[in-house]
Amino acid sequence: MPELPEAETIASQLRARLLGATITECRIGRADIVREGLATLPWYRGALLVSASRLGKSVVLEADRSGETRYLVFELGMTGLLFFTLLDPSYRKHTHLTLSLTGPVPALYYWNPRRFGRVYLLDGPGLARFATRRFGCDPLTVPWEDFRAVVARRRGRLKALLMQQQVIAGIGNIYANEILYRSRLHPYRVASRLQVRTVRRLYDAMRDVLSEAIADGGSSVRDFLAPDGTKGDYWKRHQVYNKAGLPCPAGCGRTIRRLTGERSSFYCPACQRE
Amino acid sequence: MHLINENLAVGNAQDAERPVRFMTAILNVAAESQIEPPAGRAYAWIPFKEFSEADPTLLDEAIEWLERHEKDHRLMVCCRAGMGRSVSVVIAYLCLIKGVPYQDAVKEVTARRPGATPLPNLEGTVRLVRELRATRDGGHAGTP
Repeated sequence: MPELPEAETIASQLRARLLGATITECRIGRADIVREGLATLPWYRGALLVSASRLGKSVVLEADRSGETRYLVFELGMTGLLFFTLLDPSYRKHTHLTLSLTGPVPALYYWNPRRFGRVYLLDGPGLARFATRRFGCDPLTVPWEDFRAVVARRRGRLKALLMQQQVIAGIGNIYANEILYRSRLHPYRVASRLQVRTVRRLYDAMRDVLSEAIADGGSSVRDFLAPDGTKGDYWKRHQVYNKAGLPCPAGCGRTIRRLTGERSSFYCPACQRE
Repeated sequence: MHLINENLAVGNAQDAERPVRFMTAILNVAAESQIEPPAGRAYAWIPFKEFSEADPTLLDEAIEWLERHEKDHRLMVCCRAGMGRSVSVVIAYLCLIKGVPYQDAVKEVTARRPGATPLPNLEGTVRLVRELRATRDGGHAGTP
């Protein structure tokens, strides 16, 4: 579930709390949780954490040791989270990687009960390959002209485009629904047929919704928690996601409907015409 | 900042700290952030809790403040995100001072501030404030 705003919330807490700490030990619960670079695990012992960032829905920790830089990439998948402390002893069972640290936060735990996400231990070129293969443009930094070109090239449905990570990285089902509602666009509209001003509306709505969600610490739908255990409040501002049967918040008089395709889509039939 | 009409806007915490020049009266309704009043502006802090039902007494106070300043100022109501509390105060103001029916006020504000999320049970709270004002003034307080 964690999407761009949740990944950004995690990255920003890691930046605030972990930078400058040294990794004193790395413990792996299950070897298969590391998809790439398991043999380099001992390198990280003694490395200094120098940055924390987000790539699409993944969180990246940058570590330096003896003039060399390597990365830990945490793919969050459906249920992956990072914690400073295990909130409950039962969490130990699904904690697949633990970094012991110097400094005020003694450890970082990668918890992932369903194991859809993985960890990658990469060097610089490895990270560049990883990013190129998996992630398209970032919705918060993509220039308008590039976004417009991406949409114009796509003949498929708009919602599928927003969620295709290799094209636009970081948006999942929740935020795709919210962005389309904010833009007053039906999920099944064909991307390449949109007028330029409509694409602009989509571009602005995408950035507004994601920025507002980051400001609220993301959406704690189901089980998202930030590393410090706090919940994200943006779910309280959801306009359509999981709101089938409720009145449209714009006051148009219609109720929110649910489309069942490859993923559930929630939309207002009056405000978002096909 | 989002203009609701030419004299009224909602904004977030940054807008409250650095208001645009033409917004001359700032009402901060974020309980968690009492800010330094911007120089040369009318300013008040009436604290509402995020994501909770609005306190009718506080809502009444906020409406009164806006009413008092509407003649001589352009009004901006701010909270942390500019989506919930500020929006709710503006909806209440439109209902109780301008006589706009509740659903129309919601429509007007959400059209101008996409993503607006009024506080829980705002319609009921507005009704309570209307009764409060009617009792106090012994008269009319907006349309039902």
